Amino acid sequence: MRRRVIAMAAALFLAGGLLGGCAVVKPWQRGVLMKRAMKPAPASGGTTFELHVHTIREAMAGAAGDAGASCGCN
Amino acid sequence: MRLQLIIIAAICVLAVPAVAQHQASARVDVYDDGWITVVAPSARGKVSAGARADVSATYAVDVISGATPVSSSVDAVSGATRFEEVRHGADIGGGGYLGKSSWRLDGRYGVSVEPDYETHLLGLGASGDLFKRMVTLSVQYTASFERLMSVHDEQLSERTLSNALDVSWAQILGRTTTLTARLRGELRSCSKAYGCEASPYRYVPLSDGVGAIVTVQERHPESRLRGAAALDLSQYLGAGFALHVNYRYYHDSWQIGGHSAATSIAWGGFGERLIIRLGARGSLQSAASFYQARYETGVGGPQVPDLRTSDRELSGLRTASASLRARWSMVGVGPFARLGLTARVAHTWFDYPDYPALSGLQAWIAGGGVHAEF
Repeated sequence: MRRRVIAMAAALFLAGGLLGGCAVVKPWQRGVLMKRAMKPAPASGGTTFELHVHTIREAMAGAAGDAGASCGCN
Repeated sequence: MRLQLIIIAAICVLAVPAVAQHQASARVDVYDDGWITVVAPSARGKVSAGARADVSATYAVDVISGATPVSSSVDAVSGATRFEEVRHGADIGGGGYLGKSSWRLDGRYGVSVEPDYETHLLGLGASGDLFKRMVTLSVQYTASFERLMSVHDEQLSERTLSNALDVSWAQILGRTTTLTARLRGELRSCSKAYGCEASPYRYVPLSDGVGAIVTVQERHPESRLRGAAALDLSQYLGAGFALHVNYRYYHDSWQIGGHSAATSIAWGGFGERLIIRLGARGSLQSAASFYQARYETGVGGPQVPDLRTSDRELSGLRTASASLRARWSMVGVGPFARLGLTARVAHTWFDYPDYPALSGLQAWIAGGGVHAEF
């Protein structure tokens, strides 16, 4: 179990590192990324309350929030 | 040339003053599945201290009422237990950017209190932009201290400690595409008496194969290691439409494995004052290795298995849901820089193929609220 999670983490972040080489999108080219429709919905599909419902009803949990999504506009 | 640069710099500083932007919101959500009704009002406030630091607080109440089917009963309906309880939850947090960098530190404390359950939560997080701001990396550590009690037994006080680490990597793939990878690892350490997340009210039926059935309290393992990984892809389609796709894989040390996938299409119109989001989600989950709807213990008296549960949340599960959300924002209304109204309705189907007492549930979730920035 632990090895599977570590392998998954390594694969995802290796992929992320490779993607870091994508062509740079300049700040003035990020207008579309800042649109409110582009904000991802949480994996629960909706609100914090809905995430709470799914967490209680399902044994699965985690990696479902909307924190971390970004347009790199900080 | 030098004078021009100084003038441009001065204009930039004056044009972006450290105006504090405060936020307040209130909403009510309702859940109903025919057995249980939850009414959950909540309020949230956020105060900006300058342009690069803020403090927020949330207060929420869950009023839960209804009945739950009892798995040890042959007839789940007549064996239902009626109950009503209230949960209070509060959360306070704050954070700020480090100097002029894009790196931000956050801290959070939360508390949740029910008549027979109490949680205290501490969270610390850091996030920042990397690779010419093409990537946002977030790391968050959360520790939660839980206390399990029983309204029937004043002596019962079981404590649980949970440590969780969340990491996310949000990547800009192009002018219209983003991809976010998320990972979560969590280790829960629980008491020996009941084990992790076991309920003092939940019983497991034991059968000797001849007809006699006795019930004993459920018991789970003393620890639980959980891992989840997810990918979110967001693609702008043009004309105000954006497509979002999410996939999550989950596995834990109780041999529960699962997949969930969600997609939504969002549309922003009228200068982004109106946002409409139509979504769908499905999930598939396997049962815990020690789950059985009924334990067959053989003739000669029940031999009680060390680990036992008939909890339907630990059985196999399939879900499917659809949702619709609308948000209307008005700019410059009275003292408010922005005033928004939201409404949401979702329908979810839960199917428990390994849980004979209740094979399926249909649930409605609806909610609405108001959000203000000033």
